[in-house]
Amino acid sequence: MTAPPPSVWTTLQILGSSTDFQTKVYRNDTAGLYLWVSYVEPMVDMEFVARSIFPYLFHCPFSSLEEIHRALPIDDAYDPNNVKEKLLEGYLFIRLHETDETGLLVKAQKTLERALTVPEVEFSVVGPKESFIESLETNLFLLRKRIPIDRLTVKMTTVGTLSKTKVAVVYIDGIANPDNVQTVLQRIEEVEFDEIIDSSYIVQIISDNRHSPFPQLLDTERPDRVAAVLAEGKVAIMVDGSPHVLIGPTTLVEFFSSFEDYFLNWTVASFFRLIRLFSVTFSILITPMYVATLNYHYELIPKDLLGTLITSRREIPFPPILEVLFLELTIELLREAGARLPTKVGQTIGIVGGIVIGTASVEAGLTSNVLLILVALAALASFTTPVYKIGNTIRLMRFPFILFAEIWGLLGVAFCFCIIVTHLLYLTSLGRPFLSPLYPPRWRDLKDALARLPFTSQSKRPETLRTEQPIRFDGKKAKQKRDIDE
Amino acid sequence: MASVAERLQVSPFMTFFIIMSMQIGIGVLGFQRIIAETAGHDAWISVLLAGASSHLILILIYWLLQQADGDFVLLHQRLFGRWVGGVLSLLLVLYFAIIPFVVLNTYIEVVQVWMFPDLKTWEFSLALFLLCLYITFGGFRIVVGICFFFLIIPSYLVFTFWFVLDYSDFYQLLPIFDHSPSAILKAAKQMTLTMLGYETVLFFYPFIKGGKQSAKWAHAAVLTTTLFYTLLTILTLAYFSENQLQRQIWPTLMMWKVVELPFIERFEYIGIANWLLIILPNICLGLWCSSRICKQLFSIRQKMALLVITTICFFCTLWIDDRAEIDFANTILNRAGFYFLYIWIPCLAGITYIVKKVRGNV
Amino acid sequence: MSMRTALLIGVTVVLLCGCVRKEILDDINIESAVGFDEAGKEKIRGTIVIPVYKRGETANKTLTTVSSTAKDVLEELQYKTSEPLVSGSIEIALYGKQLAKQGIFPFIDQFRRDASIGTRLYLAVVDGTAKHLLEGNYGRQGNGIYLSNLLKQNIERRDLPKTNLHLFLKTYYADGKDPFLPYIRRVGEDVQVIGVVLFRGDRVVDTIGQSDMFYFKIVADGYSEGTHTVRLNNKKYVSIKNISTKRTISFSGPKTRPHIHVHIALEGIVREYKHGPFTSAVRRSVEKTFEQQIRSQTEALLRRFQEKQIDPIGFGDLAASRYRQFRHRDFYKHYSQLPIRITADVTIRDTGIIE
Repeated sequence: MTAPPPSVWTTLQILGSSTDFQTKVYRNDTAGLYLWVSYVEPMVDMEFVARSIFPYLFHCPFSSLEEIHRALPIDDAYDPNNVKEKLLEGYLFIRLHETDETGLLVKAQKTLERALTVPEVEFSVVGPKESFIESLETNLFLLRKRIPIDRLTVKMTTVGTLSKTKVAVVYIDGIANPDNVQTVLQRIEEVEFDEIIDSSYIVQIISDNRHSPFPQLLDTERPDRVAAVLAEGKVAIMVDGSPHVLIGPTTLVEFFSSFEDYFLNWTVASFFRLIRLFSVTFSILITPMYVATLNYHYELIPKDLLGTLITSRREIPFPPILEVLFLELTIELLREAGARLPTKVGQTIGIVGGIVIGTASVEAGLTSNVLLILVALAALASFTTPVYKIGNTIRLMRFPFILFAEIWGLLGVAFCFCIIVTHLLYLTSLGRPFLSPLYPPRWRDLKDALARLPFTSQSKRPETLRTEQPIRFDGKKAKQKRDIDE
Repeated sequence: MASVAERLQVSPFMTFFIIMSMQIGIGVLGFQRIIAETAGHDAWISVLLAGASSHLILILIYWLLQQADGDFVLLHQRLFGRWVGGVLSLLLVLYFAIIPFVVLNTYIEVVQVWMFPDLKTWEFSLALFLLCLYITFGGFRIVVGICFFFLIIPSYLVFTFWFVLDYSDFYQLLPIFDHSPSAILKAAKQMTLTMLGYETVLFFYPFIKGGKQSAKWAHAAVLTTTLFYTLLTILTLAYFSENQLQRQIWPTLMMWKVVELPFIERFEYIGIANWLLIILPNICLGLWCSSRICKQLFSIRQKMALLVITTICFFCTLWIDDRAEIDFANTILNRAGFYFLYIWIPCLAGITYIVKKVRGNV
Repeated sequence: MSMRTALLIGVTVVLLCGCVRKEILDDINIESAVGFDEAGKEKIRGTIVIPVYKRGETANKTLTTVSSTAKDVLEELQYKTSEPLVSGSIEIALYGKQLAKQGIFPFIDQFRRDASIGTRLYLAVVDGTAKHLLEGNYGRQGNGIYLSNLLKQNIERRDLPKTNLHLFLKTYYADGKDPFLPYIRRVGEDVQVIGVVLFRGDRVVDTIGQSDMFYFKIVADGYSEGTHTVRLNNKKYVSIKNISTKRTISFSGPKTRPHIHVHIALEGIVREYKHGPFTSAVRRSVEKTFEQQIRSQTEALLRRFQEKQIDPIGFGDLAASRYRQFRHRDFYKHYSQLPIRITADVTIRDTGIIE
């Protein structure tokens, strides 16, 4: 049995079962016509309608809908599916007779959105402080004003059978590699889901390796970051209703670079990047090393430290592994609780949890003070990652290391490291290797990976993206030198 | 002609890392004693000789690869017919299949003596082979990635030999050429086991983009390995007295015992843990090469061959686990490598040359 | 999917059965120093020091027992402790003088075979018994650290030549060198370095006192730091601080009976001179006297070595590096008659801050 052909009448019937769907009849005295106006009330900005649309509709002389169409910016309403969509978006559907199948659609959407604010997750001390909001139009506005060229291409699609979320794929035609663009478009087309709430849903569905804890697409809420990476040749995915925009293809090193690095001088920025890398390594490895050393390798500890460690552990009834797990879980508990509590209570609990519980457990002899310092430092170090998602991954990764350190000591740590490296080697982002520019080694891209070299030396676009136009600007001119006293 | 899709190929620069990481394996821990027994304090000359001869053999290998269009198994078949050629290639499968379990067993032995006396062989072996399966199932690119990272990351260990200088007497190396040339040559022959590794190029050649350009990187790798081994030999000879060296099974590990950093006292534990990173490429490449030859010989899926070979290797690590048996396996590997590289390859080159002259092409 | 379940099973098995024996830090007794003495016929007394860590000072606990072999001794001590004894952190090993005269190789061998012992371990011979010395309480960080620091700073800044387990084994096994070790004594609640003992093989045959240590170190190690007092003819004393010392040993003549020439070049600054201004005439006379002293003392020392047929300087090995096809046996046949010539060259650089 085939479905009945879509028709406007059926749409209006279905919609009519909702109380907030209105169909009203108005009479235009001047033209002597009746106008049937249908709309979904919560979506329509009645004030705008009453102020701008109705006066024209009800008082101007016109004899047919075509005339109005020529005068006002109105959409066609010949496709019943289009009518359904637009009605639900907040358009007015105007017909001349109750049973007409065609009419006019007038845009009268309510636009209620958050004001532009500072970015919460990627705050930077210097530099622009605009951040994306939930509305796709405003986001596109923020982006287009930073790249006002004709080649900035926006391709819109809809995903989600229930949510009908608008997704915009943005790239610069002539710079971005067409394969990348094609991959993105194709994967978004293939999304099978009912309610897409946020861009992170899209990430999880279109990622190359869904089972990996490592994120494969970068998400950002800064329009300036998106503009910068589009200029490099990447592809951006914007989702209506989400202030986070996805960028791909991406690599592991990008997750450790904060956009603020580009606003600082390159020596300072490189130094901070190296500190970040070091702190991440420290954060992952310090607790497993503690477990490994105390369990198996007491000979590694320098003599002066030996006394401190032994006295700190003397009263503890638990083996090091339980101590470590207890403290790690406490920190995670504090973090989760702090994230859920309302602001005012959250601060108090944070202080109570952090200081009181910590000190008290040391005094009670449940944990050692040395370990408390290490775990706290490690937790702090894991928050230095500029991208929130990779911070979570790092905290998660600590646990397999701890487990392997418990079984095989230092050998276990080395073994777990091998596993993680292998896993990273498998990952791809939109088909491009995730560990680039480390492997496969791309020397040109290393200029912006572990350290950031000055802009004048970055005159070519990253190799991994295989862009169509690799040269950004004339490197030679940028580096012009003069002799002394010339 | 075994051609491989371009998306699976790697850049010729990677040849450097593949060959060097395959050459540096477990031999490094204890080779000094063996060559010093024969050539005394002139053993470093033997190392240089072994390195020089490796370069020559490598040239022959590349020439053979050019003649065979990159397919070594096919070369065997074309020259000797399907059956004899097949048997020859099968020997190679065995050769590459011995490497993983010899390497792993030696490593586990080191761990059991130095770190964890009660580490059960079977469980570490199981874990490691599972990891190697994970790596090799990802294909050649992942194996090369492992070679790359696990050569670069442990390279800092070279700097730890700085601490050895304090206790070294370089005059122990004098006078140079105090031993007979035959002794030095014999030690060079003993050195070949440690220099083995570049023969893998015969089988991963189709996976290199622009095959011929990789020759310079392959030679660079052999050169660097030779220099590294020479320096290590010189340091070892200066650090230990001759008789003392004879009594050390693993001189390199003993040298690490004297390293003292401000926050770490006994460095050899970290050295041994890092050594896992160094032997992993050896095991994976061995498994990959032998399964690849199997795939070409028997037309089975490489994954299946990998599973079979890995299981056999795993059981071998369980059965062959006392010192004498492992030494025996090491000796077999040494002999096999020597005959393959220094006898078979030149013979093959000669035969190919003649056949080429007679037939016109191979 | 079956691949994944197999993997999961494999991982679980490994994780569950994978444990190796732990030595958790606070559940073990870490030995920091050991000592061996002889205890009658064929018996050995072994003593170990275990630091007892407390906030502030570290106390020491000693355990001792008598047994027939070195290995047994340390194993038997396990009977006396509630927590297992581990030997990975031993800093120093001491040998009583009597025991050292009989040969210490079995004890050294035990360390050599134990993979958990580092080769930076210090060894020393005690004037007295090791047990008596180890039972004292020295320093704030425990006896083990005190003793190893004592030796360390004497090696680095004073006249003790470089020595540790590795160097001992190196010279022990070398054909052309004989080992030596520091010689220490307990004095009240302190321990002093009183000289160096010289071995032939693994037995003590001679000692060098404090006054000769300076010269020994210059010839043995090739350099020296520290202060030395030169006594001038007219009962005046000059205190010289060495900046750098260099010794060159050269051989001439046939390889079975070479002539050995030791040349010592020393540069120093004056640290203390109370007898008037330090003019250049004074300086020259000090230099000359110092050179004379170095020559005579070193000559006496080396002759002593030749008479006792020991070679702690390592002339044999040095000669082996100069001559081709060198045979140590031939060299040592005539060792006691080899002519050794010593020349010295002293330069006094500064005169300190004041004139």
